[in-house]
Amino acid sequence: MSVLEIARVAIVRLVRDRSGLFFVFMLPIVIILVLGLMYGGSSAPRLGVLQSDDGVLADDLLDAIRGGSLVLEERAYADAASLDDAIERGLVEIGLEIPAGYTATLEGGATATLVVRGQATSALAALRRAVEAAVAEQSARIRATRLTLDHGGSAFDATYQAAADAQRDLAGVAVAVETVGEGIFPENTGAFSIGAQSQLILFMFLTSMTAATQLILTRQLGVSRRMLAGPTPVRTILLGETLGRFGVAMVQGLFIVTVTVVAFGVDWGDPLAASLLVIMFALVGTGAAMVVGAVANNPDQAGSLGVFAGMALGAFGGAMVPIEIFPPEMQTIAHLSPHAWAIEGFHALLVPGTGVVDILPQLAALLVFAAGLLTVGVWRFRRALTG
Amino acid sequence: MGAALTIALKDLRQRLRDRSAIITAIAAPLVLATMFALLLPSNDGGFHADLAVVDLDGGPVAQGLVDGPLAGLEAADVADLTTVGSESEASTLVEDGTVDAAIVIPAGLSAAVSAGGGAEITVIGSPAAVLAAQVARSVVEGYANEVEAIQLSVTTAIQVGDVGSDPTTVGALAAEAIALPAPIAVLDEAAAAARQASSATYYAAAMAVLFVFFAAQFGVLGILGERRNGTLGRMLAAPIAPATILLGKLLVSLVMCVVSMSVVVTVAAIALGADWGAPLPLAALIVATSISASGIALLVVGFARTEDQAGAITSMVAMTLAVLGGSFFPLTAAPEFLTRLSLLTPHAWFLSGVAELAGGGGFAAIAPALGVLLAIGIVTGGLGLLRARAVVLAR
Amino acid sequence: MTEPSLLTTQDLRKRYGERLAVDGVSFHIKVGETYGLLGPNGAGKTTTISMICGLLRRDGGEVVVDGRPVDIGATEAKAVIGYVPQDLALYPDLTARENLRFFGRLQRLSGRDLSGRVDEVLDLIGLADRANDRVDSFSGGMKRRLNIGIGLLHRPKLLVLDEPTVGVDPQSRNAILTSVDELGREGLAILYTTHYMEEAERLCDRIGIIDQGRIIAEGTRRELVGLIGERDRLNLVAGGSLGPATEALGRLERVDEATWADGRIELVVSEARTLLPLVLEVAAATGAEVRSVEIVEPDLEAVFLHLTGKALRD
Repeated sequence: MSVLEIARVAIVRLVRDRSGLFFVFMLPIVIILVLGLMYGGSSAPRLGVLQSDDGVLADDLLDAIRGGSLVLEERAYADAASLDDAIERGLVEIGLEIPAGYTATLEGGATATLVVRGQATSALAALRRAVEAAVAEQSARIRATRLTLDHGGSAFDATYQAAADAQRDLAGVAVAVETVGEGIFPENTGAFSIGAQSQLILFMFLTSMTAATQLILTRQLGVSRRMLAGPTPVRTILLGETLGRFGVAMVQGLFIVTVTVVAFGVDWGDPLAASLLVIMFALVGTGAAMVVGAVANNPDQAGSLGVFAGMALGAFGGAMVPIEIFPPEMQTIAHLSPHAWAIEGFHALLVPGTGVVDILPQLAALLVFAAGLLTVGVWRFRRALTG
Repeated sequence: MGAALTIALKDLRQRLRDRSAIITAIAAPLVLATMFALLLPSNDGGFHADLAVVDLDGGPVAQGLVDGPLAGLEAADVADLTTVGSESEASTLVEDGTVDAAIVIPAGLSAAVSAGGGAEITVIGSPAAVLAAQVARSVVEGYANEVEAIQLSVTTAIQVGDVGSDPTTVGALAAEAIALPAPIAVLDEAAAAARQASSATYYAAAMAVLFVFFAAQFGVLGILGERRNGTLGRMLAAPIAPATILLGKLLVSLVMCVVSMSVVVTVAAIALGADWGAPLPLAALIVATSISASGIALLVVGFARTEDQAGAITSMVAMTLAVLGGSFFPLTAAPEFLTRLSLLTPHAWFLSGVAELAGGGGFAAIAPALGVLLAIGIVTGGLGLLRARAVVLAR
Repeated sequence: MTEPSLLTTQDLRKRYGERLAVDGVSFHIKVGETYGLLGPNGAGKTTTISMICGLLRRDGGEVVVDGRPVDIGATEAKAVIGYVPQDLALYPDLTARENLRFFGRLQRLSGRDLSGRVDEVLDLIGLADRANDRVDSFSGGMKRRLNIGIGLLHRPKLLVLDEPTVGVDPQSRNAILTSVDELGREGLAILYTTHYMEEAERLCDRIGIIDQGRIIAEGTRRELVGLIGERDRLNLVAGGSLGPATEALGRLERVDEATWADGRIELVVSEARTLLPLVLEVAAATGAEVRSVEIVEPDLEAVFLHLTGKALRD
């Protein structure tokens, strides 16, 4: 029973510490929320529109852009300065200025000029095609209208409408779309899923790193010596401390999983496979905590070093930026961290129908990490305790 | 002032001996900034697609598409074109990711178009490169609209106007339609200057501003430690004013902050290829950010009872501000309400200042950022000073 | 009272919420005098000292040191005081010399004067050979000595020691008491707070007994003991026939009571020391063989008990 008692104390100490609560429970949820809000919604490029003409043709042009193949998120700006500002800050990738009198100019038979702005990047050149396609569509209607007005057409508006109808019915050249291959993430991936997975891994490891500080303090405060002085065998103390770290990691892991399921509707995939990943990663964190807690002597240094090592490993292992966008060689090197394996496992589970069998390599890699770290950690901790 | 300096120098000597200060203030931001620079592809604002083109038609309309808009894509450095023999081959290339999308021009397209009939151009895309497929589709649709324009003009004139549909008239109408000038011109305005930091610069700046809030605690939080171990009383017994002690501590915070940020900025410029723009305004931005970080740290001290508590509050405040202020994710991609919310944090102002400078701005461009940062520092620091005086005296 | 007062406190008061921590404390210390503030933990000693040294805002009363009023901002007056806090107010991560130099600078010492004084003090506290070692490598006694040394750096006229022997091993404690004694002899005015009555008795020219924020009695040790009018005790361990001896001793003029039992004679007398030769003479003459003598004079512990009805130490 002493094993459980020692483990229980570790968890109680975590829960009593208010800043601990913030870092273990609050911060990951907040980051998942912010990440989801930022990247989970439309990830479409943004088009800044400065519409100085409120005529029908201006609206018609914008409708053509909205109906085009290139999906753009539209943001309206009231004046040139604010549109420029947004472009320069990268808030929109492309800006479109519809000048005052656009409709009148076109109705009057003259040439209207649209202005496209943006930073001189290849992205602008690509996104410009959306405007061009819409312009081509509207131009065709206007040409038709003008020709018809020369040959007995009545009012501009009615003729334009007739041209639009004719355009829709025209046999012409259609564009068909076929899709082959797979995306990085399945299309049904929820807005919060990727963030939830990476933050779970990032924070479980960070918490283990802070738990290491607790271990050093336990050693230094002489609590372990007191335990040793009692009738508790060393083996029990080691097991208890290990179980304590593991318990802390699991409490946090389950909390994050539960909250993201309930509040953000995150689908973690096959429950058994996901649970195994969480447990394996908790073991890895426990092992790391035991190693640091046994080897380090200055709790302040271990505290700051641990948090920062946790963040660095997290970034390196793809818990901050998706590993899929790393340069290829970095993707390979990243697998030196347990994070990369765990996240890879979770990503695999995003595909419906995947289960334990599909993530066996990841589970095995994590098991190796956990076993290695736990062996070294327990060995060093035993030495630190008994001298 | 002399005594404040003495206190500051003593503290700095202690901080130099205590490695955790160096880890937090210098090593951590540097290592993380380096990692981000290494891990993130540096395609700032870039878009590039590899497109396969299958021309099964070989006629003038197909040629028009390939030589016109598609060649235009290549010229604009948006896409590289590969000519492929068959649709299935193109499909395989897209599926295995060799190309991002493929355009299949069907046999008989030119003939169908000149006969006034319909035809279908196929764009093969992959979920792994959605944007590339969308761009390809836009290009094809634009071209299709141009191709249809004459046909549409003639059709509309016959349907709505007072002309007949005999071949002679149609021929005349078509000639007339071709002669009509393009009604809409699209003008590319001189490209806007980017006021945006490159990703190496952004992450170096983000890490610098994230950790500067931890660096700030090494000065003012010391007041609580000195109170605990009694040295504060000893200082107060010396012939110096209590405010001098606070001033000394504040000085340490400022020095820690400025050194931390300067080291990160310098190393990032040398080793990571960060571009910080004009050095003097950047220095001003660093000092202003350091003042705001020190002010907030002082405010935290005013509300904490022990060092541990103050350290914990500092971490919470620093992390919350960093998340909201864009230290972890660039806010350019964020919804507008988050962007607005971020303006409450010094982080957002520092990062926007860095962006302005990277875009070639000077003091004028960062004046708002400097103003807000200083205001944050002065307000929080002022409140903190009032509270911290009580901390110093209430023993 | 021909010698001038170096420190005068008048009606000092400090309130923490509802509790009066210091309630009208007044006393003075003359040049060259060692004054002890004796009282149990929580009596208000440290609060009083904090107000005297200008560390704490007072709610009432006045402090004058060397003719200058003391307040939190009173730097001139503070320069006269050497304050030794009860805690080990040292930087463990700095060396002894760095600690001394830092606090010396805050006391406005500089240049050669500072270096000279630091060396002198290091000699004085016997840490010259450990000057460049970090304080966290010091023993408790060494830290205590350094703690006092810092208070002496700027040649203060008044040394204020707040319980300097709390938690100190007997050997170091003795060393501290000896050096405080010497400093007093050299003419330094000393304010010494303690809850050990032996220290107050050994070191202090005058003692103020403080309890619950008030000085309830003040004077030399003799005067304080005299307050309760208690007599000395003389205990003789002796062989032979004790009955007649006791009877004879009981008849002596300054002996108020005489009893015997189990080879012991117990006398209640006045001024035991001067009476002792006569007592021994009478005892020998009446057939008692005195083997040892014990004089028990009433102490401050008894005075405190008498005045407050409770023990000095809990």
